[in-house]
Amino acid sequence: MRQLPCPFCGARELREFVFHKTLPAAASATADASADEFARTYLRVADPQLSVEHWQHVHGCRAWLLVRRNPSTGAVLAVQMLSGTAP
Amino acid sequence: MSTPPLRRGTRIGTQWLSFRFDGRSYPAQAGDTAASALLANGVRLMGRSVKYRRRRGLLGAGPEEPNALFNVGEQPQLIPNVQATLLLLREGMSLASQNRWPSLRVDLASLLQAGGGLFSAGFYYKTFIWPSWRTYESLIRRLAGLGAAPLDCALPHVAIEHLACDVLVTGAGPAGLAAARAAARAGARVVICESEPVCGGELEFEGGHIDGQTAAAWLVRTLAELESLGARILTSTTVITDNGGEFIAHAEPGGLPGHNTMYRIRPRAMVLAAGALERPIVFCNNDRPGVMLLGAAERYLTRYGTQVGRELVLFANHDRVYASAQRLAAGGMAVRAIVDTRGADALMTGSAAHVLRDSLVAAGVECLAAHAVISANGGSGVRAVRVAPLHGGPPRKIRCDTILVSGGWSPALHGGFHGGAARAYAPPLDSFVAATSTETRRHAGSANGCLELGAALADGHAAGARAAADAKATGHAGVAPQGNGDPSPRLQAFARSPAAPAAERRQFIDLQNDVTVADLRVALAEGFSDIEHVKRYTTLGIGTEQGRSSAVLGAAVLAELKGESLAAVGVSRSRPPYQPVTLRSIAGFHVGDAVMVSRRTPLNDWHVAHGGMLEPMGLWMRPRYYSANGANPFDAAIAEARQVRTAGGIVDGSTLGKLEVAGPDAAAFLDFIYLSKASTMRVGRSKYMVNLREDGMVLDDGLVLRLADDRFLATTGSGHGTHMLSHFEHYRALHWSGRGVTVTDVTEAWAVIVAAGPRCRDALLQVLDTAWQAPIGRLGHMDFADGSHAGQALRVLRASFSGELAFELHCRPAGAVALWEALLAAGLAAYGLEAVDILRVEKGYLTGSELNGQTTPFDLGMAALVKQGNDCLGRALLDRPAFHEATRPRLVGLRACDGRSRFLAGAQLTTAAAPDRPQGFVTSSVYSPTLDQWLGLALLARNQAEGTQLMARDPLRGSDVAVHVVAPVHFDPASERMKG
Amino acid sequence: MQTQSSRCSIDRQAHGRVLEFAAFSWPQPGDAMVGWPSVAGAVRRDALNRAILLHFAPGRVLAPDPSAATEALLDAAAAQGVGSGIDVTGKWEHYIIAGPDAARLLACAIEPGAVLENRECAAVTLFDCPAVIARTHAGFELWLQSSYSADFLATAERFRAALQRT
Repeated sequence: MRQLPCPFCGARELREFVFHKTLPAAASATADASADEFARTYLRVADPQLSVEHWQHVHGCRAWLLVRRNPSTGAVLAVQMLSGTAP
Repeated sequence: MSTPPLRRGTRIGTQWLSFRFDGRSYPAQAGDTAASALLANGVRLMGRSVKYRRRRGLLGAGPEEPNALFNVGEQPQLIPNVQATLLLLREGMSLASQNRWPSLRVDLASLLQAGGGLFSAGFYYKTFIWPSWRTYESLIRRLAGLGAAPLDCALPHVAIEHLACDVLVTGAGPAGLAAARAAARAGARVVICESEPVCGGELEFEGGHIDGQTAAAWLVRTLAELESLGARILTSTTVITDNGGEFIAHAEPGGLPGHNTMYRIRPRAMVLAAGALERPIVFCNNDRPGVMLLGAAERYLTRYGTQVGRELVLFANHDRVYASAQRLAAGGMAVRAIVDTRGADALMTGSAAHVLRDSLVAAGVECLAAHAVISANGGSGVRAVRVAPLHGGPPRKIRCDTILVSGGWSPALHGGFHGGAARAYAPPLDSFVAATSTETRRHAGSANGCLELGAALADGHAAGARAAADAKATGHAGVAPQGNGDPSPRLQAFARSPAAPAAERRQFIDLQNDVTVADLRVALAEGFSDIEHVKRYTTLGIGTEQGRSSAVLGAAVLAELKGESLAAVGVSRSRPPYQPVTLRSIAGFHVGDAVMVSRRTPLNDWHVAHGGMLEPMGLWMRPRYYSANGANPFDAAIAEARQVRTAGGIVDGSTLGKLEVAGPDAAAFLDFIYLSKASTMRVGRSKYMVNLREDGMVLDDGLVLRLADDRFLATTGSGHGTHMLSHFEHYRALHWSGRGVTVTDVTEAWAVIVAAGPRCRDALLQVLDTAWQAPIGRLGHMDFADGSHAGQALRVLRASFSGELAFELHCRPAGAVALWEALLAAGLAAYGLEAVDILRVEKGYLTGSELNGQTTPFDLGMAALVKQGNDCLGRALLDRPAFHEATRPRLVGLRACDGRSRFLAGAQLTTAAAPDRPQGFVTSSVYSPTLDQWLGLALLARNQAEGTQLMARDPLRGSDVAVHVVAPVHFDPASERMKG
Repeated sequence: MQTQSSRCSIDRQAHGRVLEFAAFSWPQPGDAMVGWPSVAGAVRRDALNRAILLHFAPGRVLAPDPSAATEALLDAAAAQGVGSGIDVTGKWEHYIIAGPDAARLLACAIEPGAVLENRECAAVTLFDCPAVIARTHAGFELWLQSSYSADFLATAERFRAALQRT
């Protein structure tokens, strides 16, 4: 990997960022709400072409980022500020 | 000893100096490397090989040298494994050969050669097994390895420089310089890294012309032009690894760790023009002192004016051997024979090589075609060579003292490799080039297979122009330089001379790791046929050599043994660093105290001045105890804890994580984060709150203060401050974007002094401004009040972690020392973290030892905090059946049955019925001065009742103590002292 | 603390109150307030060229030694519901790195040209210490998180002294 383009700071060295987690590729559809939560927490399916991840620019502006990467090639496809509202 | 005559070479001066090698003094000239000086002094034996301890001399003249590795200096500041070919000599330098005992001449371990079969590839999987590997291990470990580590690593400062540029060029030879010039003319910012101390590469030996000038003149003009265009040229600097598009280059002037610089270069585009490395041909005993690379001999002659021997035999498979022979003869060495593996018709009639060969024959040199060197004869060094025709005929001996070998050149692809670049087989070189350029990385020149000067210049120019375009430089690169030099070598593949199977044990492929052709056969026989497996099984191409002289050669031999083509076999991937680099250089400024950064509180200097024994807790330096209170931490902590309970004390709590959460949605946000509700809190109150991870485990605990309707102060565990900040920021971004909540780290904006003990209230009333008299008196347990003291903001929170009446004073850092000293004057004594731990264990309060990431609120006795319907983070997974099983841990207290014995955190708790199956473990243990015995907290399976007797078993520290289970509060369970 | 040399100096600056203003969202919806450094990395300076507002993180502005006018601006922003102001006096320490070698000293830790490209201030980590740097006419200035200052100065001094020797 190389640099990540922080939406606020611009391109910065990878060591300034800390990886948090990969979002599950497929949303599981189960009737039971807590089983769904369980699946979201523990059962993850990896897609070799696209990994959607949460990173934080800890050693820079501390922004939380949503990063789309191709894990096979290491290419960074898109980086944006992580944002959302309550589920 | 009479002074030898001055040698003349391009790199050496006329000034004499002296140095020592293996205890003997030798003269040298300024500019000599250890290798050139020793050669000039007639020293040929320079080391012994790693496995078989065979005598070894120099093979090469540069970084490809596998044999001559020296110790420089003496213990404790010894520097091992320094390549003699790169080490620039300084007056008085002391060098020693490695890997021999007692001396280089007489090495007892060389008797191991007799047991050659015992040490073939993979021997440690097959031999030395009975009765046990340990019987042999210590002896083999003593014999193994290269060099010894220094006992002290007080090396000077390593400079670091970060630089960004448009185009990075590795190698300042013809191709590299052409590329750099093209890019610089096109307006790019160019940086060139050149491993040698001077630029020029092959131009040093090139007799040809470039753009109507001599190669030397072109070099001078091009360097001047590059400087005027603003290019930066870093000599004695090697790019050692690709750190994800940021290239680390290591500058080691003089070839010795000393004043090194680590460059971190981020280019937009890159041209890799690091040249091609000459490779040998394999024959029997090709590791004897006196067998060298052909190009190396020329380097010693040209640069250092040193003759590598007196009577030479040259062995090669290409045209250039004839020009080399002529140059070496002109340098005063006698060329006895040239052994060309190609047929007599390989030389084109009328070509320069053909003409040269004829004149050499006329001068008395024996030129053999379709012949090969079968073996080098001579025990301690070459004395003769045995040659034989390749297509039948008897072998014969030719007397000589040096064999110069050249099997062609392999492009130095290491730089591009580390980015995963694919390799393609190039038949004219019988080696590999980069198959495609990867994302703005291009190989050029001989690194790209262009061995002729004209082609290299054109290739470099094109690569430089394209690199500049990749870097968005908009200028014009100009016209490529036109050059003509030595014609194409017209190489015919030849990797290994024929040999009887028994002799293959002495045909060496990798000199540094003692890997022979026989080892490759063993690997194949055992089923390791892929080149990467062969590399690891036989150790071919590992170590500092990283296959520089052996990787392609080994692949070619493997191809022959397998009956496949070299293209099909491929070559193993070399690993960074491209050149050996000391750990000291990699560490940079992370040495000594700076190995990890330390954070200090506003009271730090006071602690240091008053005997505070600081220790790192995470990144923070905190006083564990004060030396005036006891000679060791144990005694001091007991005295301090006793002091707090009987009179009162103060402790520095500034490291407490503090997050200010503000905005109209602040309360709702905290309701989401924490298990219990923040929105129901009154302003001026604090509440003990616990938050969970997504999986329901307890993450952290702390007090939350409601400062206003829309403002809260959340405190976290001291070690958790930045972690909890990230946690809050994460959920704010994920679920609260655009809503009204902000999170600000105010940990360093407030110093915290905790005053605890029976006298603490009186001390506060005495010290603080009179305006505080009434509020202090009114403060109930868990209340806080905001005000000011001595002109600065002050917040007083009545809360306790010790079980005593206690107040947390939050003040601005600038006023912390004055407030601290005033409290001391009022009769409170300083106490440290060890005492804090004693007090909190007595009271049953929890730290990270219990909140260890594997405990739920139910385990920790916090079921009351878990209210149905508070839909906070992690709540959904708290109801899992697994969290309520009978074997889940439960927080309990422990006391020794005999009221005296010591048990420690980490001890496993077992029952009499099942003495080997732990039911839980001790999380915290302290010696309590209040109760005069050891106390503990533990996590114990739920089904073990209070009053049960267990064994606390500590096999690592050798103790078994009988304990019984009690409630997890040892002192003042009704909290009367705290709330009174 | 002061380390002086003709080629590079690191001088601590005295200061009083320091505030951080955190916006509820970034980029901010609607029109930016007059005088607000809304662009990422923007710095507003006063007539004496002192930095008064530094937009160093998304929606987060550092206000060192705010004047009455700056305080009024921040209060107005809070009243308009832009975000919250927090008093962080003591969290940041202010230093000026001046001299011909100022950029070389910073280059021991980061690449200052790349980091400050297209912006006037940037949140960085220098020798493992969190800081906000900005260019000034004299060289660079930085606000360093105060608990890291002893370590930062010790390491920076080692590099500064080494640069002096070359």
